[in-house]
Amino acid sequence: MNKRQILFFIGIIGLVIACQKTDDKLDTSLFEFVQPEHFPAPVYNLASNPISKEGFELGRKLFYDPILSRNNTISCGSCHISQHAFTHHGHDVSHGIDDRLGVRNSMPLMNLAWSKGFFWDGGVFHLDLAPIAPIENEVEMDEQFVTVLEKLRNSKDYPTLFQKAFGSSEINSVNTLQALSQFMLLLISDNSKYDKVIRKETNFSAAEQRGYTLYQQKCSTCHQEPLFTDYSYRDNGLGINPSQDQGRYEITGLESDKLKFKVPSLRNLAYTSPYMHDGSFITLEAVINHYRREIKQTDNLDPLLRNGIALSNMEVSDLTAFLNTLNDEKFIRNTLFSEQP
Amino acid sequence: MLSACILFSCTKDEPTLDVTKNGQLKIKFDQIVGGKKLILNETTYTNNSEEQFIVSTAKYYVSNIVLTNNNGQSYTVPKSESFFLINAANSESLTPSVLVPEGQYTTLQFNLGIDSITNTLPVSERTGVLDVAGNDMYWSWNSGYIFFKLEGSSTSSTTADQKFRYHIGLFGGYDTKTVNNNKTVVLDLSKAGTAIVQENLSSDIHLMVDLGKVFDGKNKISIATNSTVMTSGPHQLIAENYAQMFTHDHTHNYQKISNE
Ligand code: HEC
Ligand code: HEC
Repeated sequence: MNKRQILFFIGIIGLVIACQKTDDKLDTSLFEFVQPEHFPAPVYNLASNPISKEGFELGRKLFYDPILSRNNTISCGSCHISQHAFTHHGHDVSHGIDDRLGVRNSMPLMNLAWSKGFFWDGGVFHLDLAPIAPIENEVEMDEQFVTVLEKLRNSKDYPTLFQKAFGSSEINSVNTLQALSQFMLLLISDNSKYDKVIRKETNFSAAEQRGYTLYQQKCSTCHQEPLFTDYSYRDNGLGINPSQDQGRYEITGLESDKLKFKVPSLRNLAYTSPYMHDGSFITLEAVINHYRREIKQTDNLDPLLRNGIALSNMEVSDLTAFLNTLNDEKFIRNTLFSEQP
Repeated sequence: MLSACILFSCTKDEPTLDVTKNGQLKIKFDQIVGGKKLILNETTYTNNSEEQFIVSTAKYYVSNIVLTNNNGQSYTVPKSESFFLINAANSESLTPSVLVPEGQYTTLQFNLGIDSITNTLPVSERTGVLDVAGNDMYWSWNSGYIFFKLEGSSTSSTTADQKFRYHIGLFGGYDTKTVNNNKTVVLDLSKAGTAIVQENLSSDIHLMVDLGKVFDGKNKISIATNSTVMTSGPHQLIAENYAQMFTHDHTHNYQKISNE
């Protein structure tokens, strides 16, 4: 080998190593929690449940596995469909085991690391504890969580997968819930046009810009940037529905909480119809008309909505243009989040 | 004045409990209903509303145990060793024991329920009787432990299956202040037998737990009016009643430590 050949050889090796390096990096960075710059610090304590590729994949498998339901027919993914920002598109109230119907509309699963309370009434205060509610709910999956653990222990695949993710093949409530959280924590939606504008990668159109200003004046107190909710519970004047759902009151028992529901995010509305806690609104137009002229003067109606929200037809079209900048196509098309073949 | 000071400082300076010399303290929970022994699914009982019932489930959490000796010194059992789920269907659960420093204890205090801090622990710390799976004492939709569960059947019940179900919990709320049904139970042991704890021996405190008090305690609860009580209905009245279920019956001191 002459000097030239040696150099060439070393160069090749270097290239191979460099390639491998970037490959590895790409691979693991997909499974890292990347803090979006314009988001606040997460509420979830990530150090308590460090996310790994294996943990995420185990969580995803659990999420799409109907073994979590009594008769092995319903998975979390049945009601939380990735292409619909993890809602149950086409269903006003949840449609669960044996075709039983619930009283509430399935919620999108996104940006959960920032959430302080879960479900429309905030009855669960930690993401790790959230999955037990649908599993044990008799109109959803109708299974005892302890039986789910038993089924997982007796399955062919899971003990090995738990071993890979947590270093032990023992399956218990803690690691099962933590795996589900690892999957759900990475469901981050931060790539809408709005996010790109904030990151100065693009600009709003004139109509979107006018709509943004209107949003800031009329909606932002409750649907606060950048997550488009302030995570509070409020009554936006829908009135009581036939299933007599009192929302937050069901948890706190306080009169002042009657008909209050968690303020939902305005992200990804294009994919999450129907809207509101009971899915009674099919279109965005109907929602906006509610705020314009259908507010019910209930006891706990939020003071901001006492007189409704005045919007001209022109303003409605601008506001809608802005709301459409909150749709994150990359999020709903991310194959990493969907059921694996 | 001076002697008072000396006396005062004397008690102050008294060596604290010698935690290097520990003995066993066992608490025996004998379940009864009114004057009759509790036999699950078998014996028929009546309450003061003249309703007949049988009991199928009786379970409750006992936690945060504190003992006070005849010098007025208190010993708090370390929190992690202080959670017990008393379950009438599981005889092993009826005699929890703890290690405490030697001494003559005249007061037994415990919490009936699970305090708010424990209700908000990360899942990784919820093991054993606190495991959210398997103990059947956790509300998943209104996150929190069920402190007390009494179930059975009665022809007075208005439910389709003629059952009554009392599941009482609520720890005071996570971020909104709500009802707290935890109850502190304080029992004077001096009358029916001070617990004398000595190294290598056990002092066995026998408590009578009258589940009938749930219906006929401070508040009268009738099965016909309230067949199901969980997070709505008179759960606070039932909690006031269960706080009064316990009486100290007697103590056996200097018992051999056995593994029964
Ligand atoms: C039968 C349909 C159905 C199934 C199955 C289901 N969910 Fe849900 N999910 C819902 C509904 C409906 C809500 C809102 C419920 C409420 O507010 O009471 C919801 C809400 C949630 C929330 C709260 C989101 C937020 O922002 O507050 C989480 C988290 C969640 N589900 C996770 C899961 C997981 C994990 C599983 C599987 C173990 C699962 N779901 C299975 C219908 C379902
Ligand atoms: C006073 C607080 C408040 C204001 C102001 C407010 N909202 Fe809402 N919004 C809520 C609450 C609370 C809900 C959930 C109500 C329910 O389901 O019971 C909601 C629900 C929605 C939903 C349904 C989302 C879903 O996923 O189901 C949309 C869309 C919406 N609001 C848009 C708007 C727009 C646009 C504005 C401004 C014109 C606005 N809101 C102003 C409190 C508010």
